[in-house]
Amino acid sequence: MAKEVQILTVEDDAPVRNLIRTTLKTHGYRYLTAANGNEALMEASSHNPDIILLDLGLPDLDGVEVIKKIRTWSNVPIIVISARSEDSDKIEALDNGADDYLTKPFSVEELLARIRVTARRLAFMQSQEAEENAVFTNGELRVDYAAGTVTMADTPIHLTPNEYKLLVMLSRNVGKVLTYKTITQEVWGANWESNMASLRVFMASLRKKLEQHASGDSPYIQTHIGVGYRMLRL
Amino acid sequence: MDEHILVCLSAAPSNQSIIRSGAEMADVYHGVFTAIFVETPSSALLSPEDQKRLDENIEFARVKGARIERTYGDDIAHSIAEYARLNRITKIVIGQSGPQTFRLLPQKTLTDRLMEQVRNAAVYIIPDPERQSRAQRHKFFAARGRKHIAKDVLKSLLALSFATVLGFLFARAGVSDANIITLYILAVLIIAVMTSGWGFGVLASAASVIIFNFFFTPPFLSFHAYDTGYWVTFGVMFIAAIMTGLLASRLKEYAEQTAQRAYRIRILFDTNQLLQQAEGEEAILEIGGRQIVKLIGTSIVLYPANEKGIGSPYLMWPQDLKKPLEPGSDDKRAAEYAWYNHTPAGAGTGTYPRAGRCYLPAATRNRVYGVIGIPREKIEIGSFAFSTCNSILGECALAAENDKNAKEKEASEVLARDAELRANLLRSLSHDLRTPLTSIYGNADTLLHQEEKLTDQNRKEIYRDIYDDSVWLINTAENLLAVTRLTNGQVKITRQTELIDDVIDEAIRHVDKKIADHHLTIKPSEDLLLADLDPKLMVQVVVNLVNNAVKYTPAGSEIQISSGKAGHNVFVSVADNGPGMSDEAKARAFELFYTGARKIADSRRSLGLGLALCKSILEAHGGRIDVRDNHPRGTVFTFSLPEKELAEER
Repeated sequence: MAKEVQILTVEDDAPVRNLIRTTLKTHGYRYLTAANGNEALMEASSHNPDIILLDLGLPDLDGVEVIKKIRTWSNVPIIVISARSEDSDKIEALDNGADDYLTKPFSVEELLARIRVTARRLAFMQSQEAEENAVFTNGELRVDYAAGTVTMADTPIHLTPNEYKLLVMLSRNVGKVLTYKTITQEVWGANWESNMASLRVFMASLRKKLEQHASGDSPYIQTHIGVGYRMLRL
Repeated sequence: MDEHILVCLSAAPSNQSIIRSGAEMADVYHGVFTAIFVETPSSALLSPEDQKRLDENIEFARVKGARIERTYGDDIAHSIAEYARLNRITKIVIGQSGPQTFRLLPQKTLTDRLMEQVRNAAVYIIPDPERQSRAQRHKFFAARGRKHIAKDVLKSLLALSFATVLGFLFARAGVSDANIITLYILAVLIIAVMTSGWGFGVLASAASVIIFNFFFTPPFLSFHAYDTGYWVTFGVMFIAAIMTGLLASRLKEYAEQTAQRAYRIRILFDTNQLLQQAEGEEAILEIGGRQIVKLIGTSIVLYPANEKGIGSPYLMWPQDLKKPLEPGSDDKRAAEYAWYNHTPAGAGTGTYPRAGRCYLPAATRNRVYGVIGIPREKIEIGSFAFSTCNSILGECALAAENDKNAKEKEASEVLARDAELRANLLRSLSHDLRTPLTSIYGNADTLLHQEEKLTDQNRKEIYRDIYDDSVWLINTAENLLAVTRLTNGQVKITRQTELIDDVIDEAIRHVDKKIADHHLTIKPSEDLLLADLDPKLMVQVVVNLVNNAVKYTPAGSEIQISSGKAGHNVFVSVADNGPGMSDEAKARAFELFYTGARKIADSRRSLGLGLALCKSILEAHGGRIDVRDNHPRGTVFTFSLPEKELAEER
């Protein structure tokens, strides 16, 4: 399955780079490595990797700059790795086009889980390119954009207009972490900070409605506290 | 301490030698040099040549490097003493006062009174070689304005007429002349008390002698007297009348002064009391404003000021009056002038006299803290109310400066405490980090060099130890990061509205993996609980509480996380059914570096950081954290923080 996926690891610290490389190797991924930003841009443009693992603290370029440059020509999923504990760095990276993030120190399991999530998103994106995406399906969830209906395990779910807007936005970006700012600006327009409380409430009720009718236990929507939300590709 | 030398300016020709002495003193001590002129109500009565000499003396002081200050007050000694106190003057240079003028009651000289009133400064008295007997101007007609004089004339005429009418009645009844004389002396006494100054008393004395002569001595209705004995009577009567009048007016003046002083002291005392409780410049200025409103019973306008300029004005007025007019542009310019020059400006002064109000600065030597505008008609420069206002404003400025100094001191103390905390932390860290590092280092070394000698069982143990130690290091690093964020002061906590359930869910993902050996249950609240919080820090609180429960209870214990609402607060509890804590440990649990006597399940040393951090985090959020016993056994940690009320908008 995922064996074909090629991953570019951009990390200046040799032991961590070794750790990631060993992990990827033992789990059958193809891998490339880069030790700085310029090398990363070169590798990314010449080898067209499927996923990029990008450390934000690079010696030559700022990680966010690397994301901005890559985004000028490619939609490749980028998972940022940040040693900085400040949420604002992650949020900046996400707002500039990163798909997911991982905070140092991370466990190998966590790393593999993020790669799996992203690989699924990748597969989904590729399959979606073929057909006109008028209907979105994810596990038992089915969103008919044209009809504006939502069903979970074939049970119709009644959503308020705002809840529906949120769901559409999350489903169109399935697998990607959306920051609060991105979501509230899309749903409410400007003045996003004053709508944080409303966002919490809508999101809580949306999740409740979805999970009520889902047969499995796994959540469809993940909360990344202090950062944003993401719909998981099941 | 820096020396600050003050010389007192006057119109005396000898004043220049005093200024020179002050300038030399300032030079010797490398001190600040200020020259002060106290304007009194009688300053307006200076003769043109005196005025010219005063101007020359002021200019001379300016040339000698003095900063010129003018204050206003009816009591020169008091004004100087007040100024010296407010501006931390260390040395006062003053000329010897002139000889006593004719006074019925002994009065102390200016220098004597200054010596009495000045507390923290040395007073230097320069002898005056010319010792010009500059008689202090007497308040012959102290009342200003024609209206007052007319009133006093009327009063005097009435009293004298009344005495004359009574005298006729007495004379008709055959009462002796002596009693009629007593009547006139009584009238003089009444006039002296009822009119201002002592001039009317003297005039009335003379008048009564003449009237007595005219009406009651033969030949009647003429200024002649047949009996030469009467001339003696006239002389004695005149002297008695004049003495009575002078004495009475002096006493009256004294009583007035005492009453004024008592009133002023009471207002100042009240102000002082109020200022002691006030915190912050705005509160202090407001108290000053309110006291002035109380003192003169009128509206005022208050401009708060800082180093850069004056702020926007606000009006204060007594409850029984209507809201006064907003200040105009002349007012603003006058207030700015007062702010810039530390002197009164606006109505009644030479600068911006067209402004509707008179503007007085609340200033210390360093800074003006505010400017207060008083309506023109309510205040007169140099009046009693005026100098009391100045005293109140001086108190305010001093209080504001003290407040500012106290805040700065507090800030530096906080900094020092922070530094101490950090030093302690580093000491404790460098010691405690060695333990897990030694273990990781040794274990990795063994694996690198002697792996072949190890059994599979040994190797598993070593892997496990390395893993455990690094997890401990990771958790400690997280706590340390949070500590630095809190104590640095530079990174403020960033609050946003979060669901409490989200915080708990996130925390569960980061707790010690050993939680798998315990029974964890989560009892979420029925309601959606929202609070403004820093998500990272609050997650860390829950992580620390759960990790503690894991660490201090044997495997298989129950750990329960529950959340709910209590009043306007949301709370989260982490309860275990482990061995519990002693009362002493509970009391000290939140102290930094307190590691307690609790037995740690994995024998790992604790930094005593986690709970202290939880407490600081909650305090920074306006919340609190408590520990109590669980029933039947175990410990419950509960933290609470203000609930975020959701604005209804759906």
